[in-house]
Parts: sequence; structure tokens; C-alpha cells
Amino acid sequence: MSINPGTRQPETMKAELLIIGAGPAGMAAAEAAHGLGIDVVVVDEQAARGGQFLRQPPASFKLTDWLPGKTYSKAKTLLARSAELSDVKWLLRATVAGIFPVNNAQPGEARFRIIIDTQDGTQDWQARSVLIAGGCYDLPVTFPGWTIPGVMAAGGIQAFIKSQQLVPGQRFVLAGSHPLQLVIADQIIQAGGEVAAVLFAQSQSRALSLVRQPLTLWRHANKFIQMASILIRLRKAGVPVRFNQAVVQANGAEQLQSVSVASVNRQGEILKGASEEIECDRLGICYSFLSSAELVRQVNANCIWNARRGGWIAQHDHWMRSSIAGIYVAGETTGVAGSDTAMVEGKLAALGCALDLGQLQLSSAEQQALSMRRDLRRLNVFAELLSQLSWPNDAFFDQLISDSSIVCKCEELSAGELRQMLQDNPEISTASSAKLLSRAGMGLCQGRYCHHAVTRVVAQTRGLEEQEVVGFTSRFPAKPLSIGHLTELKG
Amino acid sequence: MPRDNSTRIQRGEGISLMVDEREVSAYAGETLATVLLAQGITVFNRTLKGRPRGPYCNMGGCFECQVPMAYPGADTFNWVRACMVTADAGMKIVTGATLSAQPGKPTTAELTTATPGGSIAGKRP
Repeated sequence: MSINPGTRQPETMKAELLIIGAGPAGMAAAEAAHGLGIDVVVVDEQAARGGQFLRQPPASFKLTDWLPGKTYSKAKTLLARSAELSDVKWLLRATVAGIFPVNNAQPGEARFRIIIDTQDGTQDWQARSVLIAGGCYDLPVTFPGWTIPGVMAAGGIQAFIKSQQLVPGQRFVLAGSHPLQLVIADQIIQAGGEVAAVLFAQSQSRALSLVRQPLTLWRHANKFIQMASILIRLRKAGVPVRFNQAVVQANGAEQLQSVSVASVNRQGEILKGASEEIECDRLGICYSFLSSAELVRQVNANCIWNARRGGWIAQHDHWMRSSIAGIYVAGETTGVAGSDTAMVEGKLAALGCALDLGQLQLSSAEQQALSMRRDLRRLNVFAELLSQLSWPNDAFFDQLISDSSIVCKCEELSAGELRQMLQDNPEISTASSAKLLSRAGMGLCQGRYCHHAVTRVVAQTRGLEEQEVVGFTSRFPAKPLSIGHLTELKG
Repeated sequence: MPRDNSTRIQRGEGISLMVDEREVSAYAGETLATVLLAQGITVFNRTLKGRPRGPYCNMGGCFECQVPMAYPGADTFNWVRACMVTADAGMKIVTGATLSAQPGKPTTAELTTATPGGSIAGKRP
């Protein structure tokens, strides 16, 4: 690799509002902020708008019925409208590496410097306001064999189908506790794949507990109708949907061959000894989600721990302001709640930003926010119930993380090795100090795929809560960046 | 692994690229991960301990799907996330390469300049 410092100095670019994430929250915020006369740039790492929820097919593909069904219709309408926002700049295939406060920023001037990596080098941006709407990702679950090719995040399987129109396997097993895995099983079948089983760790009565809430059932009838039709289609396709069962081991040397399944009792205890082995070449893991709050933590905005709603999630006020003036948060960054919530939060954040920039009167903002806040309250009741019925419990994951399972896949550290290190070093009781001790979290994924497991292992070993263990410190760059690109930056 | 062959899908134009020095056909717009999986390739790289790895998150976060790639007409390889890079006609990809810890450490005869995680998207020449 050639390093030529100073050969190409990127010019500084400016925006009033820089939105990170072009998913439902980011698109809704961009549309609303644009409507309020704010100069907006939206940055996203993917090649197209839409976020993970609407992973678009490549522009060169033509599809007659992409993502059919009511689940996607509202966000798809927003996606179509967002293409018409002529003054909004969309910076795609671009990764935000860091957000830095500008020292002694005068009123009306940029308060933040944002370093963005692209295929063509590094860009240096300045913005008065930043909205972090980074979405979430599937909770990585650690168990023996989880790094064998063929084991995937269920959302990753879904993205191949949604976007690339590829069925990434012949015979699938989905294992987890989140109802989303039924949706994904259905999409696999529709795309021509075979689903050997969908396994839920919790009991059927717990998974269906929402149905026993008449008010919720009434208010969210559409969702239940969709779920019922999916279950009917899965039954017709002969897909077994089983409860109180979990995949405890993935088997195969070079490629997944089968999964070992064990029973789980009502207390979430995994019964010893695998009861069954199911042959498959692709396993999708679908328990829960983690918020992508790395940048929120990097700027030192307050986060709270909520295991069921995304781990470390950003705190905010009723205008979606984070604890740092000028930084706003929306969507799954504030707690996993789905695309409907994300879109409303995005709009509300745009109002908050316009208010703070002096482009909107408080009375007018309050007026517009009324119905948004009402929607958010209603949606939050559903999201909370959904997260309760779909979270197995912390002890469930502790049992999966047996000593032979790899905790940190990048540094190839096993849970047994980490536990031994903790035993030998009784003073270690935080995730960050465990990282320094063991190298867990120092690899290319920067701890995204081990921090939950490391936190659980430390918490369990020391008898602490996750918030006492604290997450890994989040530093610049938020994703790996080449030295060559870094040297293009001034100052 | 099958592409969804339903008639409601019309793919992009056919392109060809080199995978492990073998010519492979694909469709414009596909990611490198799709190209490889459609060929039945599941081992994308190997760890320092020799363990096989392949796509996990398919959204650019886990770095499990990294492969060395050279842009058309270039002979320098860079490690890229296969799920994040769109296939171009004439690209060269190597699968099963070891994630070498040292920059420049050759992992195959062709791989003389690859650095794991050296760049997010692989800078265009």
C-alpha cells in the first residue's frame, strides 16, 4: 500500500444538518428537515437508501413485486418520496468514522466535524447539527460452532433475499425467540428455499401472550393478521414451528452440516444433552437486536442499558435531542422499536433541529409534534410488549456461551479462555478492562460481535449487572479506515 | 446456492469476473458475496488459526466475509467486505486466503499487497 501524505487534501464540506443513516428514521428526518428549509446531507454505508428494513435490489434489477405486503408499504412510500427530494444530498457507500465537537464554535457556525470514509478517499464535513439514526443489527449469539460458514444472522439471510434475490442456502433452520424469524422463514419459502424448522426458545403461550391483550390486539390488528397469514403459509409449506427448543451447537468443519437442538424449560433453562440433530446448510440466528449506538457513545452522549431493546441505547428528550447540544437521535438508536417508530422519531428530530436552529417557532413545533408523540406512545406500548415476549432472559444466553464457544471471533478467543483470565485477574470487572486483558473486541468488527457476550461473561462471573460492567469504550474510527485515507486529513 | 429464479425478477446484464483465477459469470449489480455464494463457495477467508469463515451479518458490520479483490485492470489486491462491494466485469477475487496479520505478507502467489481491513471499501485505482 502506498502512503503519500499530503498529496490530496480533501476540502471541507458543510451542511446545516448531517443525518447518519438513510433508513426509515433518516429518510423521514431528511424529508421533514428539507420541508422546513434546512440544508441536509444524509450519509449511509449501503449502496442505496432504505436501511436494512428496505434493502433495495440493485438498480440494474427489475422486480414486479418487491417486498409485497402492508408491513413495508408505508416505508416504501417514503422511500419513493425521498428520491424526489432534489436539494437533499445523499452520500451513499460512505462510512462515518467519527464526530468531533468544534472548539469555541460561535452561534450560527458548525459545531461538529464529521470524518467520512468513501471509496474515493476521506471527506471532511462540518455541520451545525447531527442526527444519529444508525439503526440496529441482529444480536450476535455465542455458542459452539457459531463461526462456521453457514451460520448467519437471520437479518443477513433476509437481506440476501430482499436485495440480491439470492436464497443463500438449500435447507435452512431458524433459531431464536423473535417473531421476525417467522417472517424470514416465509420469505425463504417464497423465494424457493426449504426451511427444515423454525425454533423458538420460549414457550408457545409466552410467544402468543400478545394475543391475550385485547386492546393491543385491536390497535395493532394489521400486524396480527399478517402474522396469522404467515403461519398459515408456513403450515401449508410443511414448515415445523416448534417452541421450547434452541440450537446449542452448529456442526461442520468447512461448512455447516447440521445443528444440535436441545429443549428449554419454562424458566429458560437449557436441558442438558442435545435431543436432536437437524441437517441444514444455513442457520439463521434471530433472538434480538443491538442498537448501533457506537457514534452516540463516541461523542459521549448519555446512553442507558436496556437488554431487550438493543443494549446500550441513546437517551433523549421530547425533541429527540441527545444529552449533547446539537446531536439528535432517532430510530433503533433510541431503542429497537421498528420502522413505524423510526419514521415518527425521524420527523420529530427534524422539528427539534429546526426549533434549535431558529427556523421554527416553539408553538408551531409543539402543534406539529402533538400527533407524533401520540403515535410514539401507542407504538411504544407494542414495542415494549414485543420485546418482553421475545426476550428469553439473560441466563439463557449465559448457558449458550459454553467454554468451548468462541467469544471474540476476530481475536479467536474462547469463552473458557476469557473465564480463566477473569479468574486469574480478580480486579477486572468491566468490559473495557477485560478487552485490554484478553484482546476481545480489538479485531476488525471493533467489538460489535463480541461485546454482548463479553459483557455477559464478565457480569455472570462477577455477579454484576450489565450497566455495572459498562460497554467497550467507543473510539475513532467507528469502522476500520486505511492509513492512506487517514493521512489525507488536515489537522 | 440458488438465485431466486422467479419470473418476476429481471436481473442486470451478464458480466464475468475472475474467482481464484477461474472465469465466473454473474449479473451486474450483484455483490461479491452473492457472486461467491451463487458459485457454491462458502469459505471466504481463513483466520490466522486456519479456521474457515464466511458471511455472517451481510450488512458490513462483522467483517467475516472479507476477500482480497483487485479492480479491473489493476494487479494490487485489497481486502474488502464481499457484502459491501458490487461486482464489476473483470474484477479479480481470491477466496480462502488467510487474514494475514502483517501488511504485505503474501498469502497466495498473487497476493502481494493485501492488508486485512486496510480499507473500508477498497479505493478505486
